[in-house]
Amino acid sequence: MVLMSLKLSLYNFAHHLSNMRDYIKIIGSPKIFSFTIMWMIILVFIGTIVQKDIGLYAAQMQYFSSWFTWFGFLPFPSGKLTMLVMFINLSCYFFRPNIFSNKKIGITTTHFGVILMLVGGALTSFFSHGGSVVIDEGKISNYYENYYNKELVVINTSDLNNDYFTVFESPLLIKNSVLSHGSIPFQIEILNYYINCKPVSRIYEGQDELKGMAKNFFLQQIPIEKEYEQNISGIIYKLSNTESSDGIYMNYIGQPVTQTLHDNNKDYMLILRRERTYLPFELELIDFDKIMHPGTEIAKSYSSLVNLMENNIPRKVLISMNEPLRYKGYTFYQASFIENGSNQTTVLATVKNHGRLFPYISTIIMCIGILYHMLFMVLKSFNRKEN
Amino acid sequence: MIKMIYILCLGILISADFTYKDLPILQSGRLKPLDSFARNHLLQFYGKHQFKTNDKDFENIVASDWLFQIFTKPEKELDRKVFNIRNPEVAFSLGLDKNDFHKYSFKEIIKGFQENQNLLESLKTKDELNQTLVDKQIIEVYQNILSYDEITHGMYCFLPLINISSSANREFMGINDDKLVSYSYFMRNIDKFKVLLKDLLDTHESKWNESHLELSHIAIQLQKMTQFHYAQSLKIIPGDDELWYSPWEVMDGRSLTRLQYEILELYEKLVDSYIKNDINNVNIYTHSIIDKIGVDIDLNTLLLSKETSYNEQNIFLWSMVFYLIAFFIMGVSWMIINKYVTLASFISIIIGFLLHSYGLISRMIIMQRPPVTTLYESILFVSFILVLFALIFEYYRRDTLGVLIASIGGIFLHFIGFKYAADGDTLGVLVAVLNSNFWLSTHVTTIATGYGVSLVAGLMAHIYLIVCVLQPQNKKLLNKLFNNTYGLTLMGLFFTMFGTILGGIWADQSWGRFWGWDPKENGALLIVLWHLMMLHLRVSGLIRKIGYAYGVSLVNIIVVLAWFGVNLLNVGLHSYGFTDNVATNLFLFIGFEIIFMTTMYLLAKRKNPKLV
Repeated sequence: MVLMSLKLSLYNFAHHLSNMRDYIKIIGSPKIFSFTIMWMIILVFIGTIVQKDIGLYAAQMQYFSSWFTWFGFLPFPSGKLTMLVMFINLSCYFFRPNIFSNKKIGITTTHFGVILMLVGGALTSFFSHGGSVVIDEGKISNYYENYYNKELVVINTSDLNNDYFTVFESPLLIKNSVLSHGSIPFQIEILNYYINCKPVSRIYEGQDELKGMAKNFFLQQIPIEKEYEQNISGIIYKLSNTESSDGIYMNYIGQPVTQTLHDNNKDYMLILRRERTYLPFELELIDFDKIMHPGTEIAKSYSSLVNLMENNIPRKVLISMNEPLRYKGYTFYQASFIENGSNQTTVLATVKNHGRLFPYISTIIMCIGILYHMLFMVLKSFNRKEN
Repeated sequence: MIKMIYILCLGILISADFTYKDLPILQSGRLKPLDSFARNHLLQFYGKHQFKTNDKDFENIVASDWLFQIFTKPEKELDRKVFNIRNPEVAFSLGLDKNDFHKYSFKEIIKGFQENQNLLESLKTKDELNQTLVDKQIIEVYQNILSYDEITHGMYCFLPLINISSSANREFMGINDDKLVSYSYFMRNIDKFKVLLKDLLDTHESKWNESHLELSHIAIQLQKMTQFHYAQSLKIIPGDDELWYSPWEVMDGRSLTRLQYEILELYEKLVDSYIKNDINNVNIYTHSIIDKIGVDIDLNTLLLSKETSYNEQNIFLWSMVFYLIAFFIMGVSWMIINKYVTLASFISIIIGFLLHSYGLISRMIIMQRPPVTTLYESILFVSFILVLFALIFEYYRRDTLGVLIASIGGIFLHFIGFKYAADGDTLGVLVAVLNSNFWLSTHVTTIATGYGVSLVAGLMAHIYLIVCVLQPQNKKLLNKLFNNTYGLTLMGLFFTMFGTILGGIWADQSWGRFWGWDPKENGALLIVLWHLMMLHLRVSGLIRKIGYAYGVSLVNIIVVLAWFGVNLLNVGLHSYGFTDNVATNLFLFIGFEIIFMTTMYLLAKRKNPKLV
């Protein structure tokens, strides 16, 4: 009896397994792959064409880095979802029979390489972050700024020895949200937040409520730039719960005069800036150098001579085009420069990416797979000829 | 070892003796022979590399001679119709007479500008966005005129124009044979001349003798000549660092180095000999100049003469001629089935291909960089790959199929290449990001190879479908064609995929991201995806042979879009080179391909229901 039931359950299990097999077979069908790849072709095509109008960043957000994209009122799978489907579909390949036979091993290896590539892509998309370190010649920096995200910082400068920072990051910076934190006595209500705007001076002096720069200026919203990093974001907010400084203030990126606040015998600064991430070390720009093709304005190469300082122990490093500095998981690339009279400023693109090695590994694996398969096919055709 | 091979190649490829056409000049960041300088400017002004008119007063001389003519006989050359104004509206607004060649002389155009002065004034106030095509072309004509004028007077200081006859003066200045002297002579011997001038100033006007009087005339004449000091586009005098200077620049009173002094002297003699039409002497002085420069500066003189002969040989035109010949012989071989005729077409293709390779190698040697760096070079290289693969097929099959693919692809791509070459200098320097021989030689050549192989696959699929329609009973041929197409798709996938990934790795190495959805990246990705889609559609059994061939034949469209189409978007890191015609031609090509291949597909389907 027991044996019977065991047999039965085994049978059930086997049946279940074969059912699983069927499902996997369906999910892993190359038909699905063909279809997803067709959809991917359409996405890539559209996502490329629209870049002319909306710029690279927006196109990337809309068609590749999101789960869904909207055509009119209908949601369609965007790049991320399509690639996830592709990933699941490809994974099922490994449940097929005979994939390690001589005939299939090359193809199997290649598929494995592709899967690794997709995993690397996912890791990069979820966990990598970066921005740019901007340093003037002779100056030191220990943070990088995000290209796209902004943050609102309240700095308590009352203490002579230490400044206290309270940072509100970009997800909080939306219209009508109310910001408060134990470290600051007042409350910030965001009246408006513009991705791109410009300050325009007021013809009439505004209401009494307006304070600081808002007294003489207002922010005019303007269309978002195609080059997203060129946007000048602005914020209008209302301070309350202060002793005597309640009112409406404004800030924007690169504001020439810092918004200060003296309240309840304490000094504060309020700054809207690009989101900063601090590095566990410091970089000092010793010298920026650019070499032109002789007699022209065409750059031949750029390089920055940098002092990499950790625990105040300096080490000299040269960062140049195609030769980045890699340190503690961070990579610094010579991306650009700013020249202002005799002042030179270097712009180093900074990336911390955990998926960095995946493309390298998967390329090698794919290469081996395809080459093996080609070799196999060539040998087979030779054998056929001999016969 | 590599060096050995390199030197061997150089030895084989170097030809001709060093002549005045090879004199080094720095232009657009690169040292090049005067011949290239002349050709680039002639192309800019005239629209072609060489003259082709039946003007009675002027011969159709080669570019470098034209350059020396405008140096030595500037007055006469002002009448040569050298400026190409194709747009009749531009010609009309400048008040120029209609002529059939659309060519006008400096004098005519200058007159036009003088009589329509407000034309330029109004253009200057317009900002760039509001300028119409005509506006832009007028500005271009104006800039050409200015640049022409600058070149014309670039060697003015070497012209023997100053008469110095008083024996006292001559003796003091060290002039022996009786001839006119140039501005440059005085500037070189400024120390001696200063003594004479000082004497002139110290002597009261009433006490001037004949030599004093002459000296005062010379001083005035020299003063007058300095008005051409602006003509600084001829950077032929080596300076320090990598910079080269124009004769006028070094004659601004600075102290000359020994080398500069000698070079100036040699140029004076060279120009003098040219005026006397003594080409032999001109070349002797050329040699001396090269030798002198070579002592101080690391100058690869072989490359200069190599470049001149590359300019003169027009290799790619000849290569295309042989492809054309092969195409026609192949046509004949289809009518009279003869082993030798087939062989002749094959040989003709091979000759064209060898010339093609020779041209590519020449360019690599001249520029000291991998074969593909610009859009123009990618055309040359892709057609090279296409012909190479087609030749391999032909070698194994000997049924003129390879010749067909090679000749059609080769002719088409060469033709497009000529269009791009007519846009300007094809041997330009590279911007900083691209200035990396390692990545250019790996990523760019791999992806270009991928384009080439994909095109061969596409063409093979065309042929498969056409054979399906014309000879549906020829199963053996069809099978062979299909297998070849399939193999080529795999190979195309291999090269495009690794080219794309290598590009990603380069991007990761250079600016920190593996993939950025940039149009050019997406273009390459599209080809990869297309190949993948076709392979999986076939594997999954969703399509059969004819459907597969139809899909692969359309890969040509994807390749062309990825290659040229993305430049039309004008965004991203890879956008280089843009012409309005490209868009029209591209759409014509795509339209034609879609209609033609769809028709073929439908016909093939009807005739071969089993293969669908």
